[in-house]
Amino acid sequence: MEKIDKKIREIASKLLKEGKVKLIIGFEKGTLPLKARPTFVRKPEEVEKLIWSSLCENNLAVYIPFYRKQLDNAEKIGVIAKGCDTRSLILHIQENIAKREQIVIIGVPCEGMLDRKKIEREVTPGIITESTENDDSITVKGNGFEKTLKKKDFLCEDCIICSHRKPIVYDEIVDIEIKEPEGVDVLNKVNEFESKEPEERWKAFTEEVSRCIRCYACRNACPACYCNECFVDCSRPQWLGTTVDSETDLQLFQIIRTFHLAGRCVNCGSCSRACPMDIDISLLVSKLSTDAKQYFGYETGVDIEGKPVLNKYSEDDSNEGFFEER
Amino acid sequence: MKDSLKNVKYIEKDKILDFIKVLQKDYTVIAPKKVKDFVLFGELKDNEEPYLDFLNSRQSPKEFYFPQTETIVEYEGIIDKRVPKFSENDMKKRIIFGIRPCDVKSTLILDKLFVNEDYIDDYYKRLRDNTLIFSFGCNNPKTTCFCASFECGPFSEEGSDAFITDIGDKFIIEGITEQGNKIIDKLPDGDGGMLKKKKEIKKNSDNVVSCIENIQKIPEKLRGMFENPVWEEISERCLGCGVCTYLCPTCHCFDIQDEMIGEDGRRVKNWDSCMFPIFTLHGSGHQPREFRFQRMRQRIMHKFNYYEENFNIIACSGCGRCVTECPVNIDVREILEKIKKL
Ligand code: SF4
Ligand code: SF4
Ligand code: SF4
Repeated sequence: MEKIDKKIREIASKLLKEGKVKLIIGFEKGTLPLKARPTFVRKPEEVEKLIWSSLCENNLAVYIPFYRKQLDNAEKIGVIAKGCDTRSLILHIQENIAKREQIVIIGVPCEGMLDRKKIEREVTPGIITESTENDDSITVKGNGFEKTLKKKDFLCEDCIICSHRKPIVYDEIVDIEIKEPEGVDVLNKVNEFESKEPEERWKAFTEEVSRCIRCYACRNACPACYCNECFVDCSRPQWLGTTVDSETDLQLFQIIRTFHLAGRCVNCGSCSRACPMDIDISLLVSKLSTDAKQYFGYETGVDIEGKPVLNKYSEDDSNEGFFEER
Repeated sequence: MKDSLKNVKYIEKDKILDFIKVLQKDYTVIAPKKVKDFVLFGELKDNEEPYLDFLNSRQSPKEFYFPQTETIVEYEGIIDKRVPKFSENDMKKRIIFGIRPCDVKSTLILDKLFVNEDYIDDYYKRLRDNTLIFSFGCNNPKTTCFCASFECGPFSEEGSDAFITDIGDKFIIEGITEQGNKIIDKLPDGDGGMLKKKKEIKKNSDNVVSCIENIQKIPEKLRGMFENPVWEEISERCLGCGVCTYLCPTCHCFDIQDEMIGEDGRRVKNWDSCMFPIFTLHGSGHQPREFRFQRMRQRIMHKFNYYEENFNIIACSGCGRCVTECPVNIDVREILEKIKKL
């Protein structure tokens, strides 16, 4: 990891010194044992705080829309990006949030991010106070215990099924050898759920969503949810009630949000990780990703030259997705 | 609290359900329950045991005085036939069982706003008046617990009617108020040995739990800081979600909405969050808090300055929920330390 940190800092420092970018978004060490967090670097002397680890779970593309003003002023932003971040950045470029040359992508191949909650569960009732990461393991320490865990057993659910760990596009790259895992596909997650009876699926969905507290962390952590006015916030017309005592409103919020993400979600899992009620909301959106792949051979953000699936029409398009009878 | 009122009882751990059942004859019992891998407070059903092997609940139990959604009034036709959502005394009394001291402290903090000389929120007051508090000492404070900063602590009894301590094989329950004492009266008497055990546990917890030194200086410090550039620095990573405020036991902003079908409808109060981009958005389209730094400033100022100016108490009890659950690890402890140093 130290090698990667060093390389990231070198690249960041160079970009800032040469005036190629004004801002670099990356990760720094967090204040909690199993947390790295987004950080913002503007001066070459600040690059020392940049780090890389298996705890860099946030999709940093989420910040790009916050800088629309700067982007309108032709400023450039550097982003330290793993596979999924680059896919979301491509989405932003395709949706005209930024021009390709305005985003300087510092690619870092990713080996999957760790799920903090899974690790905490593993050592319960122990309370983790410290963690150190090695190549394929992580050691956690706390009040009277120490445990070394294999990273591959504690990956985030959406990282397990990720088949695009290498940055898709980049301007600078931190060279590390990784292999894209074989035989993994978002489909794996969706299929398991889809194999259940409809009643069972509906029950699972409604039960999960009934815990929703409408904090909108799922939406706000999502790089593709950047509407100036989200439909849930709109009051004229009001598309949706604002209470938590209407189950329908909770369900509709997620269903509509899912449809807004059709062909736009990159399955980074940010929504699920952000949810304080542990609702695995990415499952729902994943279904539309698999549909896009199955019916249109499309994956979000893997081809910067291409057009988003809902922005193009071809006579050869499959009709199945629309007219399939169930 | 007078010593003569103090009543020490105990209960074997495997008898807890029996005790709950006794309570349930006269009270609705709200207690920690396991939901997936975490804990939330909720009403215990018949034969349901409380889940007491927990550090703290993911969400604070403030919703039991200050529900996330609360109907204020229902109406038919244009406003003239208004029916308030409750008639005065139709509510079964409740016990919140197993609530942590920080969350009790937060309740006391909220009381100052909702029930004071100038204004009484009847909805809050009614729920509050009908609720007894059986609080639960913390044998294992989390690393993110900093209640000791706020005249609270893992074994603070302030605001409780009875206080529960886990001493291994048993719980001891101490009556604090008259009402609390009356309820636990039938339980077997505890002894000095049990109290001694509690004392040891308490000592350990008090040693472990964190404390932000000189927190009393923060309100004064913040007074001159409205225009400070630090807010931009602190808020740059903020996503503007509602996690910190909705899990917070003291956040209390709400929004009022009418839900209507034709001319009939209801008026509801919903939680709101200063971190949301639409918070305080005017009907005209003007937004006085357009940027994230303004909203972050509002959150910190409200808790650590405005509230203190208005009610002489800081609106934080150190439960640490915003610290552990923020998706981007914005840490209020770090913010306070930073402010102190400025
Ligand atoms: S993050 Fe979870 S609780 Fe918050 S709005 Fe989304 S689904 Fe609901
Ligand atoms: S939880 Fe964190 S990201 Fe969300 S509003 Fe609060 S500080 Fe910002
Ligand atoms: S903050 Fe204090 S009272 Fe609250 S759970 Fe932690 S130790 Fe207990």
